[in-house]
Amino acid sequence: MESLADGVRRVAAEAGMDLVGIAPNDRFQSVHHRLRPQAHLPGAKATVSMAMRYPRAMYELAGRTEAESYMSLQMFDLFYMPHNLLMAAMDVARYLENRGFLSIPMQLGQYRVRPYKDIPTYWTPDFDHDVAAVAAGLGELGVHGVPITYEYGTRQKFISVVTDAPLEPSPMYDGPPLCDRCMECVKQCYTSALDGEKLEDVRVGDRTFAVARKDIWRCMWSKRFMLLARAGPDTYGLDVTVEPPEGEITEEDVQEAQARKGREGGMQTWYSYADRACERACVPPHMRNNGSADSGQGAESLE
Amino acid sequence: MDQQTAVREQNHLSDTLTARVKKLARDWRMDLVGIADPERYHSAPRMLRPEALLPGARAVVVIAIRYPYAMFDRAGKEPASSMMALGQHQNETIGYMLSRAALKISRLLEDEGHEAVAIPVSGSWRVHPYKDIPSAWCANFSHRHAAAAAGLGELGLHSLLISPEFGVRQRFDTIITDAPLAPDPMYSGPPLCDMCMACVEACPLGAIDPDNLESCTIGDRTFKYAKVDHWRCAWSEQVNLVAQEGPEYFGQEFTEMPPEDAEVNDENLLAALHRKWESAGIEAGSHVMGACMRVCVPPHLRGWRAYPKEHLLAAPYVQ
Repeated sequence: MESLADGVRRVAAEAGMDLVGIAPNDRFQSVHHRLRPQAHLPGAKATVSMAMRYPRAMYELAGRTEAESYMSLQMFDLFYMPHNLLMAAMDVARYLENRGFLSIPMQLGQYRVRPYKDIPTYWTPDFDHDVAAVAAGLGELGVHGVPITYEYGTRQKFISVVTDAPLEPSPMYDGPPLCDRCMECVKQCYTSALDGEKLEDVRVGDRTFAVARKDIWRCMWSKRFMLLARAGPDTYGLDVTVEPPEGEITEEDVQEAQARKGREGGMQTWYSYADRACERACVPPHMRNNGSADSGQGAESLE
Repeated sequence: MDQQTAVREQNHLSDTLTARVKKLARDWRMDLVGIADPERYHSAPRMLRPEALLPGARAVVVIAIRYPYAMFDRAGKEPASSMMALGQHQNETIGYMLSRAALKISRLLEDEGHEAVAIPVSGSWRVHPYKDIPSAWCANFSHRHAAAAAGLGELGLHSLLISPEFGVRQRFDTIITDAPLAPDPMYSGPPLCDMCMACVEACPLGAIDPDNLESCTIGDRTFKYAKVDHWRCAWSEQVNLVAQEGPEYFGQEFTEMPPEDAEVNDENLLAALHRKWESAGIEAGSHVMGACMRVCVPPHLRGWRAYPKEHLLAAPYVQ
């Protein structure tokens, strides 16, 4: 008879997920108490972390070929892959609920922009899918703070389902190191948002990862607000660049820059995309045979 | 073929197609599916009847997907104090899943030689009364009235559809078709709204007026529900001007209440919205869950801690 955890894996695979792992609550010790599984669901016993890989050529070639286009990646990254992930999370939550267990499919891409109650940070989602992925044994946190998986490197998106079902946890990842601190992410960041001199320990389960301190407003300056043409908007013919100010960036700085981009960029500001250079520059050591993530290895794991 | 045989054959085909439609809905994650005879719309405004969207309509298929219980129940509660999952899944995922199922059903009906019009979750409105449609904030078709017509439940005092399985915790899509599908009976179980007034008392806008009941006849049943001031409801539900209904969980504290002694209209609503935009700063998500939905639990489900298991897998349409 199929176990509950195997049922979850099957439902996730049927919903198009490439990776699935299960994390117990006690691996979330580094996460703010309001973002933990049990903060969302009292009695939570496990978190299902799932990932869908980016199609390899679409990801690697976006903006880099004669077409000079990010449009396919833009639409998949911002719309179709999130749609699939959300529906997969709903499928898993329904599967567990049908069997008598409360389950919450978590969200993707929403933030509290400012500190909230005792959460001191800016741009904070209500749940940390990155830590959940590592806690579920899917990979390791890189210096950039993003999970790196053995199968796809940084080329996937994650979602999580919190449940009170007693699912058997997956072991933590214990394969070859996936981040060797090559610092390419730090070097390639368009806005110098990562401080490679200030590595902070992030503990997940029984593992500790060294993660560069991130200036989240500096990161969002390009990633979310697309204020640097060279990060991708220029391939849309949108040549407006507003460089981030030196020192601390404020919400008002971003609003002012956005207003300027809107004035100078016209309608094209509605249609644009910015590369996440830290993730794109990241290729784990075992995949460096051809200069980019080798999805061949990942594809084998799908069989 | 004599006439009686033809009718029998037609009924057989209809029954088969009806069963296939219901199975397809189930296969694509729908928790409820019911079919209404368009005749049950005899009292509806002309432009909101099934045949206004599809001339020759012979059946109205209504599908529903439930909210995961804990996602709905835990929204906004400490310590996570978050409405992000509820907001995103209500506004996005559930809509995708309903539309996916509605398209599958529409394609099946088309493949069988029929016409079908799928109507997605309401998200666009005629803000003002339009021709013979007397209501403000009215979509091109009412899923909740369709659900009542399809036997999925009853309209409560708040005028939302209450199902015996999930209360108000589901969303609907509708497929109007000229296929002669077999209609389901109207709901005839125990009352699903006992006028407990929780929805009236919880609404911070005072949008539900229990002293002003409206009658709505669908098929052979007449529902009475409170007159809802849809402009007052929209003040929070559509443009998020009341922090306590959801925005505060995103750290957005702007609140402006509608005027007490005047009607809400385009002018004062837009003026308040502009004041919000001017003071709010950057937002990266927000959501409102109407208090009327939040507090409504039908009598037979009060004290629930989860959906009754028999409501999840044992619905009568499961093939």
